[in-house]
Amino acid sequence: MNRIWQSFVLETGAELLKAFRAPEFIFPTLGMPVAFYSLFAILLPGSSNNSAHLLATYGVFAVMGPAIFGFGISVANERDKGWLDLKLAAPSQGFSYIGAKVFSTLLFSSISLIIIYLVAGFGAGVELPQSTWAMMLVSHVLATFPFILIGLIIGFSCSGNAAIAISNVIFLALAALGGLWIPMMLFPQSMQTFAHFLPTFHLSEIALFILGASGERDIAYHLMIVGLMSIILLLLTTLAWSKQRSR
Amino acid sequence: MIKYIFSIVSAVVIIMLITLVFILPTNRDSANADSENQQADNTSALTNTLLFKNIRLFDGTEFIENTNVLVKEGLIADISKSIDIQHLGDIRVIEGQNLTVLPGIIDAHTHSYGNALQDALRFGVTTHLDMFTNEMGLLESVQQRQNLQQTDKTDLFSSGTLATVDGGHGTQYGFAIDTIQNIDGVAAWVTRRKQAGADYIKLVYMPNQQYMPSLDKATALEVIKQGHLQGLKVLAHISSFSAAKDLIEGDIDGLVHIFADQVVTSDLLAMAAEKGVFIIPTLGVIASVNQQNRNSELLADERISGALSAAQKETLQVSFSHAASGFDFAIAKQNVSLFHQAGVTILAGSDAPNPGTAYGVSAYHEIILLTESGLTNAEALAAATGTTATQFSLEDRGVIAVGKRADMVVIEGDPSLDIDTIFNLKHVLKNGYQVQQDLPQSQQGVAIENPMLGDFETQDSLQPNEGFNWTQTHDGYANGNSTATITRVGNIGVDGSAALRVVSTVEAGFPYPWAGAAIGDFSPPISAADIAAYTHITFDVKGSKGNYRVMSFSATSANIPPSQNFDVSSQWQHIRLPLSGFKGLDHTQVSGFAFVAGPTLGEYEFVLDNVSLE
Repeated sequence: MNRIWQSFVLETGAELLKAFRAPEFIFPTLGMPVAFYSLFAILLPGSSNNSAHLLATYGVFAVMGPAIFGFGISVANERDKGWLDLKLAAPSQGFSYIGAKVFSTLLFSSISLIIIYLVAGFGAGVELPQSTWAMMLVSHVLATFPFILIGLIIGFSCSGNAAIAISNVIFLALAALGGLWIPMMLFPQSMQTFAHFLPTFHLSEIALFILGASGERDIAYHLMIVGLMSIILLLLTTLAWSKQRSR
Repeated sequence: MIKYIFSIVSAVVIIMLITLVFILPTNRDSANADSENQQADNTSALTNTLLFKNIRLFDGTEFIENTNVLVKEGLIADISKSIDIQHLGDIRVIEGQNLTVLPGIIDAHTHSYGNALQDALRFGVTTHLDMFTNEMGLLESVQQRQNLQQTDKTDLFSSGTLATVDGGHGTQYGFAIDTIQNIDGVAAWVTRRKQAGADYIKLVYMPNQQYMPSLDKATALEVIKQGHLQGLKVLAHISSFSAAKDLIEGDIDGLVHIFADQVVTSDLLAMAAEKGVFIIPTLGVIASVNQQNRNSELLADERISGALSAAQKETLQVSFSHAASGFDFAIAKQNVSLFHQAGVTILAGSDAPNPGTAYGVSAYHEIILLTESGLTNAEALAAATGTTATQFSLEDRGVIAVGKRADMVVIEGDPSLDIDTIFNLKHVLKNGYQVQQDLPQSQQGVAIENPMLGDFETQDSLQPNEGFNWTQTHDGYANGNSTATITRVGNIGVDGSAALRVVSTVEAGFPYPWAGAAIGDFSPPISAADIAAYTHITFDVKGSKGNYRVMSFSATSANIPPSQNFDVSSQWQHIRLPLSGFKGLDHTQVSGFAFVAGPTLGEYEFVLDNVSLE
């Protein structure tokens, strides 16, 4: 156990060091959500009334980037270069390779969230009870997990170049169609129905529920769907993982 | 080294997350400040538990003399001739020889925009049944009306937008609405209303007239059918006997106007009674179309005038531009009387804020008009309370009975004998809390101290008065496509002084497009300015030729801004406009002025200097 922990700590440290040495990945990933949020919740006219609503949805958007891009592209690249094969041959455990990536992604998601929350609180004038701030923050951090799984599936099943393209498509589709950028009620009916198949929609609905945003929400339904989707994604991840190993 | 990165980064991020939760702004401070203010204002406003002792009660159906009503935590807890006061302890008591307690008034036909809900509540109209408004805030109002918290707003029920066709009635108000394209789209259209938070469906059926297109009969009947399939009541705007007949035959639930083009036939009376249709005649607005309104009486009535906001006064004063045919007030009253005698349910609705009506006060006026059309005083009051609640299935309101919401109005006098006493408003209770009936201070304008609104000599000159700023303005705020930029430039003004350069692009997209520069307070909460001390607005201008106008904005009304035109040429011109030229603007409630190009489309550039009041 101690040995696994040790290798996990070292792997995570290396992962973080790698990230710090390549700030050209970190800054855009962390900067884009907050830039979008500032645009829609502060700068555009008429935005002042829904800055809290948008925080709930942009919080989900903020954790998508590190998870999908951090995972999808970096795993695919490392696999392309044969690094993954080397890892599997090395005494370090498969768990610590994935674990380190999961953990460092959580840290980057958290940083992304911290920035966007600070902008919301001190720039957009969002005021919430402390418990609401805390619960929404927790829900947003946890929202990273489904995206990590999506990132892993991409990483395990695509080549490095394909991963970039596919990550982008999935990232943009999940964000736009899940109603993270523009409130869902402005969408036509068919798109609103389609959104129910996207984890982004349910995760943002959960955050909106915590926020107490206007509208009726069935929280149990959204939690159940998110749970179900996570299980399916986990199965797919395992499938992708074993498929690439057996290759 | 790598070992430490993990611990350090994890610790830093976790500490940041925890700190974040503690430093983010909470709204506790502002909530405290509010309640302290109210405490200072009026301690009675803080309790939602009180006793009405030895009062006359109208319970939503009938009068009961000399009884007691106990309100506990926002709900009606007890009604009885004898109440044991001993065990109630220290409780607020309203006791009066000649007081009558009524349920909060329900206005069954409104269009609730702007400050509608505040303006209505000050008059004891505690529920609005809106018949077409912007759907944006509806889901919020659904939540609002379910709680028992203290509020300064009337509860809102609404149809959302209305069922009409492109170019039909309802599309003329300058914002896009969801119209019905064909009969196959009706079911989905009804579903969209439900999702937007509509409580019922309203359709517009005006066939056989040349003014505007309308739903055809088959589509109108499909709206009724689909509304019913999806569990909603369907109401209709009609303006003629034949239209009413078509829809009553087609199982409409209610009409939101009485027709006044001809006297109803006995066949239709019998059918309406048999089908259980209800009618909201909106006699007040029909009187207004027929140029027979009594606004001057209402405006002069001291019991009312003190609580009227600038917007309420404005909508009461405005009249329809000309009498339209087919709206004969005498026939309207006769039809109401005939339907009522035939056993058809009549409900009170004002159609505020149409010309000649105002939120709140017109609901009372409608009750009086109903008594002039054959309803007894009790029936007319029930038409604005208990009967409306029954017809619209409003479970928690409209009557004074144990367990109902404590929305109540207390008046002085006996309305069973003299209906005019309903204007003697003594108290208004919403959710058991006393409502402030006077106009709040914030709606009274602050006098403008610096009449020089813009000489543009220094950066500070862009904010000449507290809360008054120069900004660009354009119809983008109303979903148009025009744009504008403003820049203070050093030496382009009169005599080489500094001035404001405005570059406007006026594009199609809004019925009256505009783009330019504005001075005022346009970011909510808007503080009104009082410019009554001044008579003119003057400024120097030059720039590209075209049509320009000065728009004036009210802090309290969301109506079309009163404007005056001016011309621009490449030479400096001194322009002086009388403030009285802004028709309908309340000079004590101004939020600002805009100097804009439009409505002719195109690119404009002009320079503005020495903008001043005198």
